[in-house]
Amino acid sequence: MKRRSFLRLFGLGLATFSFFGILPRVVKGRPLVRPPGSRVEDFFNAICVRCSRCVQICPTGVIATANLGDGFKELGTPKIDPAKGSCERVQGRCEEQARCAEACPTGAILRVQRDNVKLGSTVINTGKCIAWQGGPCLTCYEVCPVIGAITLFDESRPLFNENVCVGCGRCVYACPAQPKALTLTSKGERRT
Amino acid sequence: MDREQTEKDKSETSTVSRRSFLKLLIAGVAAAAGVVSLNFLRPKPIEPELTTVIPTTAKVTPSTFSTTPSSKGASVVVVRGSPSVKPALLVEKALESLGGAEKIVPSGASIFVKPNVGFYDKEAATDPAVVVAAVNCLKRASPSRIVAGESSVRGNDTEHALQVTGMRSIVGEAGVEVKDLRKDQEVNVSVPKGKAMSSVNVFKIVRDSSFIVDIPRLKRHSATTTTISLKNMMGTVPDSEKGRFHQVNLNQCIADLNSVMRPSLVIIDATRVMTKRGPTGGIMVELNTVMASLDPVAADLVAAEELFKAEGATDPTASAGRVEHIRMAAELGVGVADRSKIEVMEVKVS
Repeated sequence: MKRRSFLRLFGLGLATFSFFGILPRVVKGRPLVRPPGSRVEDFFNAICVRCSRCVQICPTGVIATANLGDGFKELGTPKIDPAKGSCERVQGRCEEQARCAEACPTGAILRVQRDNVKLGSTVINTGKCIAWQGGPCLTCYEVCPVIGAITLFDESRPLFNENVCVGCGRCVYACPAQPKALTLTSKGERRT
Repeated sequence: MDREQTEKDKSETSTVSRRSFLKLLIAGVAAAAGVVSLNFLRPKPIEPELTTVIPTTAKVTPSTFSTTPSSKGASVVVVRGSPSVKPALLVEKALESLGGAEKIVPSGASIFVKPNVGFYDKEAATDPAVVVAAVNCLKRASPSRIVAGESSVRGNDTEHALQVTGMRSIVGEAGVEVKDLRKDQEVNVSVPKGKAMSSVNVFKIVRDSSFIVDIPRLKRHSATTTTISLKNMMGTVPDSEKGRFHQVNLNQCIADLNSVMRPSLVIIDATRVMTKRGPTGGIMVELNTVMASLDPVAADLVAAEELFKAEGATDPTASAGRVEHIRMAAELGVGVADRSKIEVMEVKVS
C-alpha cells in the first residue's frame, strides 16, 4: 500500500468516525437520565462495564440499555426510559433495596440515601397538556410521590417544580395525552 | 516508462479512493439511518395490547335488585359510630338496614368486590377491615363465588399496592381471592347510552360477574372533585382505557362506564375520609361512618355531601350537586341525583 492511499484511508476512517460521533448528538441533543445514584457522567461512562445487570434486576423495568442513537460513549450503558415505567427508588417496589446499585459490580451506580435521590426533573409542554387545554385531567398530580413537586394553578392545571421533583418519571409514564405532554430530563440531577 | 507507470498508479489510486470514498460515505449514511430507525422500530410498551376482544351486548344486572328507575327514588343508609366502634360493626349495621345481605344478593350470584387500592398509600385505599366485614356479610347470601380485584392508577403496580395497603393479606385471610386485574383478559362491552364513548374495554372477570359490590373510600379528587363509588369503577378498566377517558372527557366517561358496569351494591368507607386534596396526600378526617345503598348515584351524592360537610363547606348540599360525574350518571339513568327523592336513613351505633 502506498503512503498516500494509506493516509487517504486513514482520513476517511477519521471522517466516518467523527460523523457517527456527531450524528447522535444532532439527533438526540439531550443528555441521558441515569439510574439513581449514578456517578458523574464521564466517570460513569468510563467505569460502567455494560453488563446490563441493573437493567435485568430493575423491578419496574424502567432501566433500558442506551443504543447507538444515544451516543458512542453511552452505547450499552443504562438509562432511565419513562416510556417503560418509573423509578420506584423513592417510593414503591424498590425504595431502600436500591437494586440497581446493589447489582452494579463496578460502583458506577452507588447506593445513596433515599432523600438524596434525584434523577432529574420533568418538563411540561402546556400546549399538549389535557388540563392546560381545559380538560379534566390531573393524572400527573395524582401519581406524583413527592408532595410539592407538582402544584396546581387555579386548582386545575399542573405546575412542575424543578427543585422538588426527583425525576422518577411516574408522571411521564402515566400522562394520558398523546403525544405526551411531559418529558423527563436530567435537569437538576444529583450525581456523585 | 517510469513516468507512465506513476501516472497509471496515480489514476488507479485516485479512481479507487474516490469510489471507495463514495461507497464508504453511502454505507456510513445507511448505517446511521439504520441505527436511528431502530429506535422507531422498537415496540412501545406503554399501551398493552388487547388479549381478546369479544363483542358483547350490554351487561344486564339483575333487575330485582339493581335497577332503580329515577322516578322511584332511592335510599341511602348512613351508619355513624364512634372511635371505639369497629368498622366491621358499622358495615354489618349498614347492610342490615338495607334488608340484609341475604335479601340484597340473589343466591348463587357471582360477586365481584371492588375496593379502592389505587395507590401505594394506606390512607388512599379502602380500609381492608371494611372489605373483610362486607365479604363476611356477603358470604351469608351463599353466592357461587366472591372475587375481589383492582387495577391501580396508571403508573402504579397493582400487586405492590395490594401488598402495602394490606389488602392482599387481610382480605386473603377471609378466604377471598384478591386479583390484580391487569393479569386478566380484556373484553369489549358496548355502551348503548354512552355520550362520550360507544364501547369500552373492561376486565373479563368483572363483566362475567352478576353482582358488583363497590367499596370505595370517601375522598377528594383533583380532577373529578370527589372519588366515591362511580369513580372507583375506573379500576375495572385497563390502563389504555383510563388514558382514553382522560383524553376524551373524564367525567362523561365515568358516567358512561357506570351505565354498563353499574355497581349493584355500594358500601362507602367513610371511617376516615380524605378532605381538601386527593386522591392522595389530603387531610384525613375521622368520621367513623359507613354508608350503603343499592343506588351508586344517590350514595355518591349523599357521601359527597358528608365530605364537604367535613371540610366545613358553607353549603355542602349545593357543592355535592355540582359534582359533574354524579350529575352526568343520573342523566344516563344510572341512579337518582335528585336530593328530594333520596331517603337518607340515619343509624347510630355506639
